Amino acid sequence: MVKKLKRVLGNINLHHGPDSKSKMRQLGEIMWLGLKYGFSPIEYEAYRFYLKDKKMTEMLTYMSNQEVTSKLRPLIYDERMLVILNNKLLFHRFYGASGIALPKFMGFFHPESGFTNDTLPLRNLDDFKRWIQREGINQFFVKPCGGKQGFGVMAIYRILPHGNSYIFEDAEGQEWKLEKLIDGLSLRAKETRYSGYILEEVVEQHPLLNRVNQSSLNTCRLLTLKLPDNTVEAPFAIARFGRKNSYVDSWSQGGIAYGVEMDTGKLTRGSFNPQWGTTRTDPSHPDTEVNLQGLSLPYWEETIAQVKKAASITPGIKSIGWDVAITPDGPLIIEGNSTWSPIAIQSLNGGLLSSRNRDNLRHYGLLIR
Amino acid sequence: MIGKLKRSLNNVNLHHSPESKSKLRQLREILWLGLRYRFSPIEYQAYRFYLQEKDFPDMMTYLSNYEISFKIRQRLINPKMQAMLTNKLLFHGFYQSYGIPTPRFYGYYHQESGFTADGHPLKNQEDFYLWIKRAGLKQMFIKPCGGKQGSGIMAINNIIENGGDLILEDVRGQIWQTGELVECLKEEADGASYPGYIFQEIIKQHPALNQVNSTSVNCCRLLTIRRPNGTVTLPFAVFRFGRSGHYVDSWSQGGIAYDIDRETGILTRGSYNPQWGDTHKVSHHPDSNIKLEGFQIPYWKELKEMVIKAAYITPDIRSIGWDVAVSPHGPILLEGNSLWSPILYQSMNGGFLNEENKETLRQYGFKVR
Repeated sequence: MVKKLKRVLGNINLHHGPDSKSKMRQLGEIMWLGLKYGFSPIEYEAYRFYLKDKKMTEMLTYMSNQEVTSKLRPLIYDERMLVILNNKLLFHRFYGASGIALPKFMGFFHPESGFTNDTLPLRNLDDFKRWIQREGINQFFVKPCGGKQGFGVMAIYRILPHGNSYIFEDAEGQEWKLEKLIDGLSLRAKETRYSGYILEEVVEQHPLLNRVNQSSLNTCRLLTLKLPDNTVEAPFAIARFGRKNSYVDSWSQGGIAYGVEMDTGKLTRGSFNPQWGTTRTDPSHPDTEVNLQGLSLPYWEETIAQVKKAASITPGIKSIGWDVAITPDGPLIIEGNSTWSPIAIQSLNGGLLSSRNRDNLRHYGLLIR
Repeated sequence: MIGKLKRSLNNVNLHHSPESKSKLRQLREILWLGLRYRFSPIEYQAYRFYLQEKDFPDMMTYLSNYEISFKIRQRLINPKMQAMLTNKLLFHGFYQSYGIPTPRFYGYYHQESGFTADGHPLKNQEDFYLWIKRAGLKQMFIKPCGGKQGSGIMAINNIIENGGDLILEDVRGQIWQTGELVECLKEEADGASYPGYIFQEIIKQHPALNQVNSTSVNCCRLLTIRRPNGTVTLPFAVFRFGRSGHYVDSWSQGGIAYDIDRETGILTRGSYNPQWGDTHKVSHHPDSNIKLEGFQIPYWKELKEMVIKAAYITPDIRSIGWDVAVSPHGPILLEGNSLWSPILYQSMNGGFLNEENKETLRQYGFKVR
């Protein structure tokens, strides 16, 4: 308890400037919003509640992470169906069978029951060698079957013959012997909720997004909400870009995120995650200096149509955060998250509790504020 | 405790015939096997332990339902992955995508997320009406998405247009209007573990099997166990036939089961479920009088290959009881059960603990008697 309090207090960062509220007021609000609604000091900062123009009525349109987790989710999720999103093998088979555009599935590695797309074994070193040789594989992603938010993902960008085996080069240019990779995968195959690893194509992103940062796959996160009349709405989206030489675009791992105008696909305000100590807004990518504010995302209409279609056929889960890559040929859904974080979405788009969303959520029994 | 004891004693059925052990010995064995290995009196009867030829070493090759359920199965399956077998929507999408024939999928009815195989919504009465008209369907199976062992299944035999509405006739001759049927589908089926209903084709069975009994789809039930090295064994295989006028082949509902020679696919010994009181061998189908001892199951080689492939590609579930139908064009995978009951298998095929299965269990670290 004391440790938790210390950690919370350690995250308090009081702002000083002509646009900021007084430090006393900031401290009072942090305490009050924390005790009454569960907002953390990090959320207070991320949502810029310290600014003078953030009135209480506006602040109360935001939902705290705690409210989303403990009040909203239990009302809109049928736990039994989460496996569709949480297990990447089933995710691929379910949405792929329904015509949703996904990255090409290449195989499933498992030391006991792994298999290639044509159901040949993919369990050990010899199977892997045969697979690479037979299919002429040169690049692929390895993802833990039960992994979340990119953790444990490995990108293999180059495969070179080495004696009677192979050497792999990952996204950071590090070289791996095939034997070492297989040993590592076999050892950790049962570490996540679902065992094994899926193997996927390396997605080529749209040239426009590649120009902004080419070392990472820059994706959009779109939130969908199933309405009481069973139609689907996509009320919020953000676009995320990785930093130079980083191969992840995640906001929590140093990337920069931008709000997206839902009607047009134009990027609005961008910011870093406040945990990196800056809340400054950037109209341009900090490394390539490509101007992002006002940039129109390619295939935006198609992107919205894909996530709405995917959300509409997902039984029992009324709100999903979809990660979508945009390729030269259109959008591909990378994953769907039932436990999406509200922080990036609200930081860049404003509070979730617009009057329209509030009515929809009230229908599901969410009675807050 | 007393209630449970009373129930057990009620199931005690002591046999009296020249081939039977003395009643005192039967009683003593029932008590001893019950206390030591948790065999129930029903299992004692099903496995014909009352026969003089069943000596102690033979009885010890059988596993009780309790031992299978609480000692063995628990370690052979990851409960989180059971959804891919128990959720018919996921089951269909997964196995179909790997080229394993399953009954043709027509659609999924769910008030929030239903969809047809051709990508249209299937969420209400209007969707249902438009879909049937568009697809021109006349027959279908309706199955609860999370139903078990055939419960809640409805077979629609005929659909006719009637002045802007549809009239549907099920196999029992009951007539349904679209509104009545859709009203039923809004409710989750009793005991179903997932929401919604799937619509599938009514399978046409192979003429040789149809000739034996045409009112039921006569199915093969096979048990597969995957070893740690990925090889799949087939410890049990049983074929079931329904009785004339019955549309289920289930042994527990009056059908006849036959042991299968796993090498050749030829039926050997047949019997009714001993709970019906008849423990004699059945050489012919009692209604069509077709000789079943020596009957060759069509497409046996393909059937075995299919379940071995299905068992291999099912991650984290090492032991599965499969239901397979045989159509004029080959085998069709109907269902997989991770919670298979040993009674039918051991009654027909003998005790589980032969040398091959003991070796499999040893490889998973079980101590076998």
